[in-house]
Amino acid sequence: MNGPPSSLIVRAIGVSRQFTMPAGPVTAVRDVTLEIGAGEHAAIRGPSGCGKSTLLHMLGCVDSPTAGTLLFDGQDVSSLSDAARSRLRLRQIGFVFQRFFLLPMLTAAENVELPQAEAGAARDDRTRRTRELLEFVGLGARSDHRPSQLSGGEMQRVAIARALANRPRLLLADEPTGELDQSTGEQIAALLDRVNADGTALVIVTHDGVLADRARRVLMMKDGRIERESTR
Amino acid sequence: MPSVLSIVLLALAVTAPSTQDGEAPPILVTRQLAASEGLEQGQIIRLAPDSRGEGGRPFRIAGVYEPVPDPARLGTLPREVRLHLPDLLALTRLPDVPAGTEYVEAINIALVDPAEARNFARDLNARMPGVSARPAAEAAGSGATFQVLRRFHLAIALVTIIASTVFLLALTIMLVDERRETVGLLRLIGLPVRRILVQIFLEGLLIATAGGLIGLLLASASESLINAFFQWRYDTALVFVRITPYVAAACLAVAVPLGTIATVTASWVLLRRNALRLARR
Amino acid sequence: MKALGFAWRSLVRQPARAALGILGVAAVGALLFDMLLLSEGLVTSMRDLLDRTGYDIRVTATEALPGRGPRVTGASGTADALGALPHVRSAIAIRLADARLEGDGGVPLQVGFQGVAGGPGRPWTVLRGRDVQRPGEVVINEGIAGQRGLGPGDRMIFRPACDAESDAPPAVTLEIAGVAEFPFEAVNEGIAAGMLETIDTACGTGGRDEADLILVASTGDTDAAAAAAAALRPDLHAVTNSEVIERFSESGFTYFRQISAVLSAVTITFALLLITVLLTVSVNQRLGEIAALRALGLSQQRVVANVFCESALIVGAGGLLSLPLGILLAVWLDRILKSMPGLPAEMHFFVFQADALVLQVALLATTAVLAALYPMRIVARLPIAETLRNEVVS
Repeated sequence: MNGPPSSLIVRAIGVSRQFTMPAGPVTAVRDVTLEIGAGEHAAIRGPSGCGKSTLLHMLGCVDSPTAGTLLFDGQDVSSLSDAARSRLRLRQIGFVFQRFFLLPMLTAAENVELPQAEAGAARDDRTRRTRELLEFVGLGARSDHRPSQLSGGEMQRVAIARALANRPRLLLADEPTGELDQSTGEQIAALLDRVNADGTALVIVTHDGVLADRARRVLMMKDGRIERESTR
Repeated sequence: MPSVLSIVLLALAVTAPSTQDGEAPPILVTRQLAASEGLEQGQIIRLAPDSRGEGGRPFRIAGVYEPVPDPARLGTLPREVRLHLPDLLALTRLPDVPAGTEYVEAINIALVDPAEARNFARDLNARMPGVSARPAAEAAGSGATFQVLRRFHLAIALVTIIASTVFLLALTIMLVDERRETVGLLRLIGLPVRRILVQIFLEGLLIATAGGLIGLLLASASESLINAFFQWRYDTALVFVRITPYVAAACLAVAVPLGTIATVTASWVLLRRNALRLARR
Repeated sequence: MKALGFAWRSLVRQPARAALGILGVAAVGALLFDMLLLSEGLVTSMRDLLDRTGYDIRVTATEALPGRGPRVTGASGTADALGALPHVRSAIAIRLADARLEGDGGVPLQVGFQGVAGGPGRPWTVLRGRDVQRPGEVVINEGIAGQRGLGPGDRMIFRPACDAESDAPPAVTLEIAGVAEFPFEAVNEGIAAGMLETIDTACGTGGRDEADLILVASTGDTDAAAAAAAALRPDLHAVTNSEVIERFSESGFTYFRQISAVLSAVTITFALLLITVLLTVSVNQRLGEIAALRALGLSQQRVVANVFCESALIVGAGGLLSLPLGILLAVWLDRILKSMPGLPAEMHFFVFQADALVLQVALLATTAVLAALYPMRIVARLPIAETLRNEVVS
């Protein structure tokens, strides 16, 4: 998808995030202003400890800025209750983690079904959607396998399917290829491209230059600030 | 005070008449009886051998005494009075029984050397047919009730040990599981299973010994609390809990091997897994 | 997937840990159940035994146990007078004595002897043969019948040990009319019973007419019957079965009630610690997963409910298992305690009571809630972003 975002999903206005540490306060993100629109494909890069993941967590409403304003769909996230934020994440945002975080006691299908069940989807709808998603990520035949029976790449594909379960408008991925070999990482990158091509806005935090280069917009961070931004 | 007080009359000793004519003979009453009936030293009370109070005689309370704690009568108020034996016989003798024909149930004898009790009893039995002499320890019975209580407590202890073992195993499995990555890495860098097990064994031994000792300290601290509670509850001087060296040693003898075995067993289960699987999250 | 199903899958994920948790709860739950049974078991058993005698008031000359204090004088007349009172159906006087059963040249058997006057009822139940009808006849219990091979129609030689003040009476020969069951007989205890005249004659105290107690059966209003008995003989103590139970509760075997209270508290604390530690460690090992679930949109209540359901499942399964285990344990412990000398064979320390079961369920449910509080707090206050970051760094 090319061109400017058709509508704004999340907007950060001068957000900062400070942590209280034993040695004194540490500011992980400083005065960042950023907008992510529908269907956008952005990558956040930067050295370790530059605040990439913290920014991603704030965009995903799992963390709150200590300064600045974060608007999701025009609504100030800081005014939302914990339950409202949970609902927001459940229905509007998908997360993919470096370490997958699949529930080991559930099968691939059950992992994908879990957020749908939480969102109150009907059983038949859940089953159909889960099948579609697992087919989409190329694991239709392994829906009954538990995470321990899957490879790292397969686990991450299940994690992506799980993140897409409730048709989120925004998918956030934190080092999605960090634990995978190059070949498997490329497969995951291609999969994420397909997700974005289907209209889901995608923000990826990564060290992987190849993965970042697939994004249309690349944000370079350093010392908690967006130092540079490039678009393709 | 009830019209007739039911009490246990205890004769003190065979003595000469305890009083001069006309004076009420002296008696001792238990602290508990004095407290419950409001009796005081110097007070004159009447004691009677039957429920109607017939044949009752006056007695002077010469003092209040603390009865020897009797575990068999736990929970009952020791309403007891001690009389001189002639006073007791005079009080309880039936009208048609001539004086001097009474008998007593038992004679307690204090030996110079208590260790000679068994020999003394044997000699007495041989010399005086019709008399049954037994060392006090045996005369008190085999303590069957307390043997039964002991077995009951042991049974409870056994169940507690089983529950503790389960608890301990669950804990050690969790603790070992928390360190699975470390164990996996140690295996991967070439440490043999035996070496890791020895290390875990020593660690388990240390923890179990420390746990056992802390348990004993806790038990010692609670000993006086439990005794104080039950002594208050039953108004007795009996000791309910006593941590003897034997009990302490028995506790350690159970706890230390149990703790060590639980640790090693849980670790052994973990170590049997593939090292790569252990190291992988 | 509902919280309960999710909790079940979480437990099954680590079967050894879950099984040990459930077993631990089952073991302490069984002990707790038994302690709850023990706390009221003796009293319940005693009440049952007293009720089985068919008499609801005991009249004695002393507050002490029968046989340990002064006797009721004019026993036969008093029993008759009591039996004629309004609210009273019948009254019998009972005198107790020890006796030595001789014969066959074997070792004499020490037995208890009861003599009764009044009626028409008897404080025993005839199992074989017939009841005593005249002086010189006795019924014996299975203890004597079994040990001496005696039965209805046989004769036996008795040497009673009556009162300390009387001379040693001569042996008497009595005819066995039947074999009877006595409510308070101890295991292997020999008991023989006949008319009051029989024991009086045997003891050589024929003219004395004394009894250790008089049992009174009311027509229904026990308190009124007891009041009437007390009014008839103010010098005697008329105590209803309820009052006996009350006194028994206050003094007799309160040790068991106390120890059951202490052990109940200890076992509950033990269970609480066990489950709290299990859940806390389990939750701590899954913090990353829980944070990820929260990031995916699962609500705080949902993840807290999962932890609570895990606690409920462990305690529920352990609690269910604790009941059969507790019953088996109670049978074993009861057998140990019943070997105390002199206890009635039909008396039990562990008696099933619905109240105890309800209390057990309530205590375990409270334990499940309390045990889950700390791990639930961990989950509820879990900082999602920080946990995810820590998981990656670790």
